[in-house]
Amino acid sequence: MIKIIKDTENHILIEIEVSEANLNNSDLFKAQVIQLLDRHKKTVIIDLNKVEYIDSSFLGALVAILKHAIGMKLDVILVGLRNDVHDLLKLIRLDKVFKIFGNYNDAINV
Amino acid sequence: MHSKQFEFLKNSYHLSSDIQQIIGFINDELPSTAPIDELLFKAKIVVTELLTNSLKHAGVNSTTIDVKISGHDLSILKADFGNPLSLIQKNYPINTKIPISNDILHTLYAILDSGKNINFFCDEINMDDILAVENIVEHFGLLIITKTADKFTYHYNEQTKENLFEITLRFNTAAIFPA
Repeated sequence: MIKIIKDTENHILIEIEVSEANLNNSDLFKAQVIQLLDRHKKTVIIDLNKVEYIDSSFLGALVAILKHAIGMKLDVILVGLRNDVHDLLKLIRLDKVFKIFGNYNDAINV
Repeated sequence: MHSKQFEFLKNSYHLSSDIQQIIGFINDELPSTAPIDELLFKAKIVVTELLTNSLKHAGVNSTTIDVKISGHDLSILKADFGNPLSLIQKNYPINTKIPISNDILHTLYAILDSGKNINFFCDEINMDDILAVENIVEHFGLLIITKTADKFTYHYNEQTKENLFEITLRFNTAAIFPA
């Protein structure tokens, strides 16, 4: 479901390995990322470049992960969003609550 | 008018391919003068959320989706026999905006009309307090459909126990050929 791409002192970069992020995999995704946050206690950067479509269940999982991270005074950053995915986040205004960057380098160079 | 009915049985759902079947039909039947990319994006959002809703909620063994395409409208009607929305069991006054969910981003409203249809609307809220992320709801299905659709109505048929969700996406091909 997720693959750890990079583990640095301050953050972990993970990639979502499915193209359809939906009800079938949202619970597993949420559990895996929350476990990662609890274990590593670092900001998580999530690369969605492989995700072609995302549904409400997966968006709910992302928000639950963000709440969990904020509770730990950490952050969740999204990178590599395709246009359809970015448009859906903008539609329900989640672009106002997530930090979103075009790619990993943009995210770490802020 | 072009129309087609799709039927899905809960135990044999294949979400991606089921959605693709419907989107393929819409793609084939939309008039060439319609804003096809925009409509396909919106239709995929709506169909995904409708089928996800059926998968999530108890009591739904089969779902039918009727797609109708006229010169100006794309209509998507979902029917199932699952448990009705809890909204229907409350005696809301007619033609009154009832807030059904509220967070720092949106308020989602239901309005019951005299035909016992529930129409959904939403308002965006000015968000000043980023710290209130804790209050954001984690259920976006109704909100996504409401914000995507030009019209979104739910009706529960008490006689047949059928849930009907009707979504209309309007398009204007006339703009291509101005008078």
